[in-house]
Amino acid sequence: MSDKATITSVLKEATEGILTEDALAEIEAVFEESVKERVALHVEKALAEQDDDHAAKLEKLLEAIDTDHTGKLNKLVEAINTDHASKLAKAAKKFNKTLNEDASVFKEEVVSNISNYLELYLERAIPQEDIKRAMNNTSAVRMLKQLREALAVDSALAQDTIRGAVKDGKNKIQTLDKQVSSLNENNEQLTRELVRARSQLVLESRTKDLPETKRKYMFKVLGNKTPEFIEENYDYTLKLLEKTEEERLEGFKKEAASAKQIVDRPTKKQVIAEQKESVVTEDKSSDQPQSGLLPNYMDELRRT
Amino acid sequence: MSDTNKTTNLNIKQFIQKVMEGNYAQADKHLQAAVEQKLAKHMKQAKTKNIFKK
Repeated sequence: MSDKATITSVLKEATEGILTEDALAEIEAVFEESVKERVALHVEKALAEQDDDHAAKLEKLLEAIDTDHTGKLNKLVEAINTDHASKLAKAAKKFNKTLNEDASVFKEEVVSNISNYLELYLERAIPQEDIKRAMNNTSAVRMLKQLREALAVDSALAQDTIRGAVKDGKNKIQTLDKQVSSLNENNEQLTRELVRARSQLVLESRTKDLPETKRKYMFKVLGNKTPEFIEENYDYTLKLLEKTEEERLEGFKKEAASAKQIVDRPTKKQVIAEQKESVVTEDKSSDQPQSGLLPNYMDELRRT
Repeated sequence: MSDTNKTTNLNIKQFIQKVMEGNYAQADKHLQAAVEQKLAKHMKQAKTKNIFKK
């Protein structure tokens, strides 16, 4: 009111009463309107500046708050991770322990409980007394059967007729056993004699054309053999004998050849006598053809 | 633990295993075997008693 009064009074003094009260009031209203508009512009400008300033400050504040919160959140996440990792490790350890130890114990307990339950159920369903009674009955029946068999044999043996028959049978069995033994011995002896006779027969038939010396030798070597052995080995034994004889004669020839230088030449009569004697002895000793050997021997003696 | 008890417990374990697998036919066989072994044990205990002993 003081400003309004001042503007009205200033205009009155400046115009010295030229302007009427209405004009003054209108001028004052226009002036106030203009002042209000300018004030509104200034206020709006100040508010815009303040808003920009506050926006910038708020942005900085938000950035700072975000940075702070981010750091704090990172620390929080790290702490939570560490905590959760340790808890997980503990949980895994506990789980493993539970799985490996407690579960085994639990399993054994479950098995033991089921076993006990089965025991109790069986005892209730089939009482132990019944089982014992059944087993006693079975054992008694088996034992009575064995006793019955034993007693039946004894009572049969106790009767005189059966006992006499049994004794008679026993004596007959013993007699027949002795007879079988003696028959077996006779059979073996006869078999041996038969084999020997067959061997002699075979040797007789095979050596009937041989000289006496070879025949004796063949009987000596193969006389106690079986006929089959004689048939198989007769030719080989004969060849062996002839070979031995030849070797012996070769030995005589060599001996004579080595001894002819130191021995004096015999007279013709002695030679003839020796020749006759040797022919006789050779005819006696073997049937080997010696007719070719003696002339050679004599020719050798004459040549030296 | 005797061999009979071991065999019985093994049968019970296999019975549980087969039940968990849902193989009820095999579970029945193992349970039957366990029960038969227990019955045989009871019968053996009753058999060893001498019936002529006072």
